[in-house]
Amino acid sequence: MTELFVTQKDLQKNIKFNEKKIWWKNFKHSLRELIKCRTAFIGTIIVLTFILVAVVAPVIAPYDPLKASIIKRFIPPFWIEGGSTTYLFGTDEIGRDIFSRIIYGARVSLLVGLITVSISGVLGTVLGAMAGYYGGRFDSILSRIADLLLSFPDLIFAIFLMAITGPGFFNLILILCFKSWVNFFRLSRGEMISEKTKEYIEAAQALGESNSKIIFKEILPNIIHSLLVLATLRVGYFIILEASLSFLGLGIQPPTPAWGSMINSGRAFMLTSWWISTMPGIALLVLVLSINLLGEGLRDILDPRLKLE
Amino acid sequence: MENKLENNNVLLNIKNIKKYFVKSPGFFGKILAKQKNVTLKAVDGIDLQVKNREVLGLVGESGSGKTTLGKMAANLYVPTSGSITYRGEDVHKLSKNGMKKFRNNVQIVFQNPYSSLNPRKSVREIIAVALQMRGINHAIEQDNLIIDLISRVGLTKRDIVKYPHQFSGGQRQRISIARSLAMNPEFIVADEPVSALDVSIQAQIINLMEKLKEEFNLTYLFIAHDLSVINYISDRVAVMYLGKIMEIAPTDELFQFPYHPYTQALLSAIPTLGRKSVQKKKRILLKGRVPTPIDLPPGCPFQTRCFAKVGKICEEEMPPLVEVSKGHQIACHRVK
Amino acid sequence: MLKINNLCTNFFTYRGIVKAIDGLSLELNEGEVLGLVGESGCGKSVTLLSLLGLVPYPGKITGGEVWFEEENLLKKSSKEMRHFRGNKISMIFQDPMTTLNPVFRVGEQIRESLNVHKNKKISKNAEKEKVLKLIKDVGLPSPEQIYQQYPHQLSGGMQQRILIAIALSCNPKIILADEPTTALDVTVQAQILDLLRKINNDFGTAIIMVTHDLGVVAEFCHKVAVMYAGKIIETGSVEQIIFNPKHPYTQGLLKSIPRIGDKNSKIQSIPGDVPDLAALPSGCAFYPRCSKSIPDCQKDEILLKVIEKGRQVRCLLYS
Repeated sequence: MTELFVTQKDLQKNIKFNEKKIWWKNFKHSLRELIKCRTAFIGTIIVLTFILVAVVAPVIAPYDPLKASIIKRFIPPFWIEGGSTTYLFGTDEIGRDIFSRIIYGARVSLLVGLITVSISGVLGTVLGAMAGYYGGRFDSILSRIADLLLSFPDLIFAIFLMAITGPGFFNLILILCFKSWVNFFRLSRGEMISEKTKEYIEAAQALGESNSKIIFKEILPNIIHSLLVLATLRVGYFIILEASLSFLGLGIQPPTPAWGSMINSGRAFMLTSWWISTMPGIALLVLVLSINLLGEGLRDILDPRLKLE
Repeated sequence: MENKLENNNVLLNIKNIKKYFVKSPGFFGKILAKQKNVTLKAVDGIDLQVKNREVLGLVGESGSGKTTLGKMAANLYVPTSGSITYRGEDVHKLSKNGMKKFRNNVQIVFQNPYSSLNPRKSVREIIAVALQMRGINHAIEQDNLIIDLISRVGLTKRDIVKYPHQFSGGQRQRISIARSLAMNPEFIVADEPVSALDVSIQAQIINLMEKLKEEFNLTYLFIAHDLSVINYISDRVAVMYLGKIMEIAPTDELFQFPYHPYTQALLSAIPTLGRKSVQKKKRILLKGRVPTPIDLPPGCPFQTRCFAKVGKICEEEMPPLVEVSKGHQIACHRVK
Repeated sequence: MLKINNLCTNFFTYRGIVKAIDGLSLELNEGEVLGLVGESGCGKSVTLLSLLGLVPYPGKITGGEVWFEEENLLKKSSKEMRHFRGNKISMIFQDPMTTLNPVFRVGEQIRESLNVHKNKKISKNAEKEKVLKLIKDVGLPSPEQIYQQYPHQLSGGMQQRILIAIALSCNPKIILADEPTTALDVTVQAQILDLLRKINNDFGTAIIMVTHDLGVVAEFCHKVAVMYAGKIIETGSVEQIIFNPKHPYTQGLLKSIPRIGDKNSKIQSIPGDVPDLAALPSGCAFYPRCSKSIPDCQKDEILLKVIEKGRQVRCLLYS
C-alpha cells in the first residue's frame, strides 16, 4: 500500500482494494481449514455431488422415473446375478428404474430440506434476535410459545397436522416450518442475550443507531456462525423427517419418487427383492451422513476461529 | 440545541437522580413462592454538575454506582427518577432532532477494549457508522475524516482496514476514542477508560486524552477507581459510595484535606511509592461488612464501616451535601 | 530456600513457539517477600505455575531447575508434586470468586485442604477446630458462622481471606500469590496486604507476590524482580528498584505512574506496545521501545549482570 495518493479516488480505490484483499484472505483460510478436516471435506464433496445430480436430474437419469413396465419388474442391481448395467440399481415392483427414481428422489429430499431450513431459519433467527434484544413481554410470550411447541415430538406433531391438512409438497413444507422455527429461535435468542453484554452494542446506542439497525447490522453478523451450523445440521434432520413421513404414506404422495415412499413400497419384498428398499435407504444414509459431516466441520472451522480472533 | 449554558458555566446538571434495578420474581414466584421484588439501588439520589471544559473525576469502589451514573449521563440508562439537563434542556424530553444533537454532543468511552468494538467490522466501518449518524455519507469525505481521526489518536492510515482483533488493548482503546470523536462531541463520559490496560499503556492513553481535551475543547466526566489517575487528570473529584456522593472538592483540596471518613480511608489505603521511612502514615483499616446495594440500611450508607460515627442519626438519616469550604462539599453528620 | 535456575517454559501454539519464560533465575530466602513485577504477557503468572508444575496445555517446562529443600521440583512426578502443592508451597489466585467451588461451604473447602495433606489420623472434631482457628487467623469474625457459608454469600475480601486460609492450612514455607488483590477494591486490598504482612511476620512464611502494581510492591515487598517478555531484566531490594531503577524499562514504568502529591510532574509513557512473544526479535526485547538504546542492543542476547550484591540488570548500559 503506497503512501502516495494522487487523487481522492485513488485513496478510495486503495481502501476498497485492501478490504477486498483481507476478505479474500479470510475466505481462502476457511477453505484451507475445510480441506484440512478430511471428514468435513468428504462430506462437502458428497453433498455437492447430490445437489448437482438433483439439479441435472433430467439429463443424468437414464430412465423416466414414472415409467412402469410389467416385463421389467424385480430386476436386481448390476452386481447381482440376473442384473445388468442397463438398470444400475435394478427395478422395483412395477418395473421402474430405481437409480433414476433415487436421482429424482434426491430432488424432493433436498428441496424439502433446504426450503424448510431457509424459511424456518430466517423466521426463527429474526424472532429470536428480537426477543433476546427487546426482552419484556414480547420475549416472554414467544418463549412460552416456543416451549409449548418444543414439548411435542416432531414426527407425531407432523403426522397430526398432516392428517388435518392432507398430504402434498406445500403442506409438508408448511407443517415442517410450523414447528422448526423454534430451534433457531432458541439459539438466536440465547446468542443475542449473551452478546448483549458486550459494550459495542451500547456504543452503537450511544451513537444514536436505531435498534433495528443494531440488531441486523451490528449483532447478527456476530451470532450468525452458530446459526449456520444449526441450519446445516437441520437440513439433514428434515430430510429424514420427510422420508419418515413419506414412508408412512403422508408427505409426498406416489407416484412422485421420494425415498421414504420407495422404502415403504419395497417393504413387502424385503426377503426377495431387498434392493427396492435398501438402495434408497443407502442413498438417504449417505446424504444425511455427509450433511452432518459438513455441519460438524463447519462448526469446527467457525468456532475456534472466532476464539482466535 | 441552543448554545445555552446554565449558571456557573454548567454543561450537565444532574438533579436527585435515582436508578433502581428491580428484579421481579414473576407471576409464579409471587403467587406460589411468596417472593418479593428485589430492588437494587444503584444510584440513590445524586446531585451533580459538570462545568464546561472541566474534568470531573468520579471515583468509587465496586458497587458505588459510578458506572450507572455515567451511563445515565450518556443517556444509555433511563433514570428511575430525577432529571438530567444538558445545556439547560431536559435530556429525556428531547425531540428526535434534539436527541440527535445530544448524541452529537455527548459521547462515551468504555472500559473494556476487547468488547467495545464490533469484532466483525473493520476500523473504517466502525468509525464510518459514527460519521453516517452525523450525516456524512459520502465515501470520500468519510475516508478523509477517518484517516484524520485515526492519526490524531496515534494510529496510522494502514490501520483503518484492519479488524479489532489485530490490535492490542491500548490500540483498541484509541479506536474507541476515535469513534467517539467522530461525532464531534463536546462532552465525553469516560467510563474507566484505562482500568483494563497495562500500566505503561495507561500512561499513553491518559496523555492522549489530555492532548485531545486541549485540541477539541472537551469536557470529561472521568470515572475510575484508581485514585492516582483521578488525581492526575481531574480538576474536581466526586467520591461515591453505594449510590450516593460522599464528598466533592477540587482535586488538590480533596487529596490534601479530605473531610469525609470514607475519603480519608480511601486515600490512606492507596499504596504509595513514597519513601519507606516516611511511610509510617496512619493506615485506616475499615472494619465491618460492606453492605450490598440490595439491602441498604436506612441512613448513611457508610455507617456500617465508619470509624467516626456521630450517633444514632447516622443510622436514621442520610446526611445532605453541605458546603464546608469553597467548592468543597461533604455529606456527613459530623458537619454541624 | 528456593532457588530457580534457568527456568524455561514454552507454549507450543499453532502460531509458533511462545517462549513464555526464557532462562529465569531467582532466589528466595526464608521469610522474604519477593515481588515479581511486570505487565501482561511478561510471564510472571506462568512462573508461579511452573514452580508447582501446573502449566496448562499447550505449555511445557522445557528446561531449568527449581531447588527447594535440596530437591529439584521439576524432576518430580505429578504424584510427588502433590505432596508439595498446598502443603509446603501454597498458591493464592487472583479471582476468589472463580477459585472457590461455589457448591461447597467454605469451611468444607478449607477442611479439604487439611484432609488431603494429613499424614496422621486426626479426629473430625480436631480438624474442625483447626479450620475455625484458621478462619480466625485470617481476620474473619464469627468463625462458626463463616464455616457454614457458601462462597457467594461472602464479599470479595472475605473470599480472598478464605483462599488465604486454605493456603495457610498446612503451614507452608512459601506462599505464591498471583495478583491476589487486583480484583479487589482499594480499601479491601489494604486489609488483605495487611493480613499477608502479618502472616509473613508471625509465621515467617516467604511470599512471592506477582503483581503489576508497583505501589503494592513498594509497600509490601523486600525484594523485587522486574520481568519483561519472559526474562528478568532487573532485580534488587525494593528501595533500590523504586528509587534507583537502572533498566530503562523499569525507569519508564516508574515515570509512567501518576503520583499523588506530585501534580506538576507529567507522566511519561513508554511508546509502543508489549512485544509478541511468538516473534521476539534478536537481542534485547525492549529495544524497539527504549530511549537509551544503541545498535548493539539488537545483536546478541544480553545477559543478566550482577552489578552489586543482590542487584542485577540485563542491559548493555551496565555491562
